[in-house]
Amino acid sequence: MASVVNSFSLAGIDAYQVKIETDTIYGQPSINIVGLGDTAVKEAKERLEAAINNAKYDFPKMKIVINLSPSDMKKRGSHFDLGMAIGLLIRSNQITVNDIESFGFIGELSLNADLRPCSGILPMVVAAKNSGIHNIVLPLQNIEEASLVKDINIFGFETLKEVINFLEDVDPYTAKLSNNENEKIRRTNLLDFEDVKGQDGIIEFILVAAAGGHNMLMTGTPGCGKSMIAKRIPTILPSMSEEEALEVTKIYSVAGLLKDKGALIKERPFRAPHHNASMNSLIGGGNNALPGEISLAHNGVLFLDEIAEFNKRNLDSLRQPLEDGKVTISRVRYTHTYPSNFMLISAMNSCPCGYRGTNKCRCTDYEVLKYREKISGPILDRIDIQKYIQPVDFIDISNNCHGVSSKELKEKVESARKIQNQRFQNIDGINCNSQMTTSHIKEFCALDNEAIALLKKAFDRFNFSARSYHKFLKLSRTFADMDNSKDIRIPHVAKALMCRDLDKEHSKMITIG
Amino acid sequence: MEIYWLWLSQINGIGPVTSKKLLKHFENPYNIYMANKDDIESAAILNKKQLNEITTEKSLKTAEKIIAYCKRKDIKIINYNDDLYKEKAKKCTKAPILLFYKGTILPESLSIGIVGARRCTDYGKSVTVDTVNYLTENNVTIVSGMAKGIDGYAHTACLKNNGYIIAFLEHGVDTCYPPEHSNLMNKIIENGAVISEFLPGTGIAKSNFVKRNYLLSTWCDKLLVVEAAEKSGALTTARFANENGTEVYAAPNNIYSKESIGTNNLIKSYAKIYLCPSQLLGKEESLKNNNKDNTYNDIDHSKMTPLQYKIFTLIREKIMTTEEIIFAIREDKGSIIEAISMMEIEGIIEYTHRGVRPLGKIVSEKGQTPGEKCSMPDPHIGF
Repeated sequence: MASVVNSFSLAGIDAYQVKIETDTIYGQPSINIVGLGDTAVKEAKERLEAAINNAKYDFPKMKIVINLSPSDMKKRGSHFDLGMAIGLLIRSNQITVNDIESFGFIGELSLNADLRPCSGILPMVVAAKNSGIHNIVLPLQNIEEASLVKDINIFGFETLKEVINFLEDVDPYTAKLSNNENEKIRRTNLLDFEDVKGQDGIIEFILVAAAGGHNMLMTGTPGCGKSMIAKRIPTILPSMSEEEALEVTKIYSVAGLLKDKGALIKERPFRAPHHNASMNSLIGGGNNALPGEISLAHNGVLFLDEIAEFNKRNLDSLRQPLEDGKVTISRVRYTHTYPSNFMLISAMNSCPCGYRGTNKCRCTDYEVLKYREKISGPILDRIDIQKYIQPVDFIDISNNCHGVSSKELKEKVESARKIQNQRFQNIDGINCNSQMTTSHIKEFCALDNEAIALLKKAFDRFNFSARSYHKFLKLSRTFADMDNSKDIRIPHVAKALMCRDLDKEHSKMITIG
Repeated sequence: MEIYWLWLSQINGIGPVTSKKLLKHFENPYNIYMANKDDIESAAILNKKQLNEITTEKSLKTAEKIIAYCKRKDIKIINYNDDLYKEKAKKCTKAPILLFYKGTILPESLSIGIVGARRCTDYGKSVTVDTVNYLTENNVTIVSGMAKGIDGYAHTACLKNNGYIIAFLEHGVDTCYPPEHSNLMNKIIENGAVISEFLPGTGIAKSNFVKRNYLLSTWCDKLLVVEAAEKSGALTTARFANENGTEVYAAPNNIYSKESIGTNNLIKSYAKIYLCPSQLLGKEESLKNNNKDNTYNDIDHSKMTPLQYKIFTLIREKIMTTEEIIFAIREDKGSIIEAISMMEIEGIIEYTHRGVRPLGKIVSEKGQTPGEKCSMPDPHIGF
C-alpha cells in the first residue's frame, strides 16, 4: 500500500495541506512525480536519489510513483523533498514511523542529505496547525520563523539522518539553536527624524500624514530632502500589533525575503521601487503570482520617488489597491489575493527642469501643468496632502537647529491613533481618518459655523475642487485628533487648508485649463 | 474665385511681392489664370522661369483639394483684397496674398503685438500679464505667436479677461504646437482667431518662423518685446516691425539677466523703452502706478493677531519660506502654520512655491507702532 506523508503548498500568502503519496510498483526502475509540480518539484527525483544513497539507505530499484495530492492544484518549490524522502523510505520498509499522520515535513534536501532552508515557512506552519497536524519537521534554519506559531511542536534538524533517527525514536529531540545566529543581528533603526534639520514646518505635516494614515505627495527641487524625509516616516508610525506583524511576516515569507532573518518582522516595512518598475513587480504577479511591492509595503510605507517618471499605466494600476487595501492577482492557474494596505508617500520635482521656485527655472506654466498631469487624476485624488519641500540653507539653519526625534513624534502619532481606534472600533475595515467614507465624514467631521465660513472663504479664494472638500474635513479631523480635541475648530481647519500646495498653485497659474 | 487665389499662391517661384504686381496688372487671379503667355510676358513682371511655371501649371486639382479640406476642418480663407485683411498689413509688400484662419477676424481695431522669450522669467511673466490686463480693459486686440513663454502668457491673460485675441502660427491652423497649448488654441479660436499663411497640415520648419514673425509684425499697430535673449526670434519680429514702420517697445531688464540682452539691445538701437502699459495707448501716466507696493490691499493691522503681525513684518523685508519663518520666530510651529493659513485666506499674504510674500500693506496712523497698539483680539475672530 502507498505511504502517505504530510507536507504543504503555498497559495498566495496562505498554504494548504498536501499529502505526498508514494508507491513502488514492479516494473522498469523509474521515478515519476505527479500532481502539477513545477520544475523544482520535478527535479526533486535527482536530489532524492543522491540524498537517500548518501544517507546510506537504498534507493528502490522499482517503478516509483509519487503523487502530490490534491493533484489538480499547481505546486512549486523544493520543500517537498524531505516529505518525499521519508515517504519513500517508509514505503520501501527501510524505516518505520509510528503515528506518521501527526507529522508534517518541510525541507529541501541537498545531495549530501543535508536539510536546506525554504521560503514560505510561516504560512505553511499556520496551515499545519489549522489542519490538526501537531508536529512539524523542518530545516534548522527555519525553526525561528516556524516558532512564531504557538501551540504546535516544531522540530528542526540539519540532516536527513537526524530526522530519521528522531522519527524512529533512536535519538530523542534536543532543541538546538539555529546556526544562523550571527546573521540575526537585526537592523536597528539608524534613521531618525532628528537628522532632518530646519524642516520643522514640513515635519508637522508628515506627522499628520502618519497620524491619520493620509497619503502624501512632496514636491521640491532636487536635493531638498524629499527622500531623506520619506525614509524616516516608518520610524514614526505606530508599532505594529502582533496580528499585523504576522501578516507582514507571512508576505515576506512567501516572497522568499525572510530566509536568513527568520524572526517576526516588527518594524513597518519601507519599500521604494525605482520608477522603471514593471506593473507585475509593483502589484504582484509573474509566473507564480508572487506578491509585488505594494504587498511588501503592507502595513508600512510605499515610497514612490519621482512619481511623475513612473509609467502611467503602472501607476494607475495602484488605484484599486489604494482604495481596497488588497490586490487580487488573477492568472490562468492562480487567483491570489494579497493584502496591500500601505501609506503612499510620493515625491516629484515640481516642474520638468526640477528647479521651479529658484532663479534657474524657465519652465512655463503650461509645461509645469503638463508635467504634473503625468500623475492621473484618480491617483492624485487618493493623495490627501501635497506639500512643497523647501530647500534649507544648511549653514544658517541646520547648525543652529535641533530636529525632533522620531521617538517624540511617534508618541504623538500613537496618541492620535488611539483616538481613531476608539472612534472606529465598531466599523469594519476602517482604522484611521484617511479611510473614512462620506457617511463617516458626516458623522465624525462636523464643523461649527465659523469653521464652515472659513472653509468657504478659502474655497472662493483658491478655487478648490468640490472633491477636495472631503479631504479638508478628514485632515481637519486628524489635526483635531493631534490636539486631542473632540471638536474640529478653526485652527484645525486653517492648518488643514495648508495641505494642498499644488492645488493652490494651480489656481494662480496663468493657464487655460 | 477662391480657387484661383489658391492656385496663384501655390505656384513655385512666385511669392507675395510678384503676386501683388501681377494682381495690380490683371486685377484678379482669374484673369491671371486665363491670360495667355503673351499677355503675361508683355506685362514684363515675370522672369523666364516664373513665366514657364505659371503657364504650364494650370491644374486646379490641388487647390480644389485644399478648399475641400478647409471646409471639412472649418478653416476659413481670406485674400489680400478682403476687407478683413488688415489695412496696415496690405501695405507691406511681403505680406502673403492668402491667409488661412480659424475663429473670427474682427474688422479693424487697434492691435498691439506682444512677443518675447519662450524661456522667460517671472519678471517677464508679470510684465506680460499686467500689460495685457491693462490693454484688454481698453479693448485693444492682442496679437501674439502662441509660442511657449511670453506669447502663451499674453494669450492666456487676454482670454482670462475676455479680450479679443489673434494668434499667428508658424504651422497650419489645424495643428498645435507646442502640444501643451492645445486647450489654449481651442479657446483662442472661440474668442478670437488663429491665422496662418501656411497650408493646413504644414508642420514646423525653421524658415516658417521667420515668415510668421513677418506676418505678425505687419498685423500689429505697435509691438512690445518683453524678454528676449541675444538671438531670440522675437528680435526678428522687432526688426520687421521697425522696417515696416511699426513702433517697437521693449521692456527694460536687469543687465545681468540672460533674457535681457535682446530687449536692452533693442532699446539701445531703435525701440522705445517700455515703462508702463498706458504708454502703448499714447497716454503718459506716472510710473508710480507700476510700483506693486501701491497695488497692495490696505490691511487693517488691528485685525491681526500679534503672531500674524510678527510674521507679516518679517516677510515684508523679503520672501521667506515657512521653514525660515519658523526658524526666525521660534514659536509653536502649529500656531505659525495656522497664522500663515489665516493670513493667506484673508488675502494679506501669498503662500507660493518660492515662499511667503506679502500682498497687502499695513495702514497705521502716524507715530504709532502697529502691534503694540492693537488690543489682543481673539485669534479666531476678526476674519
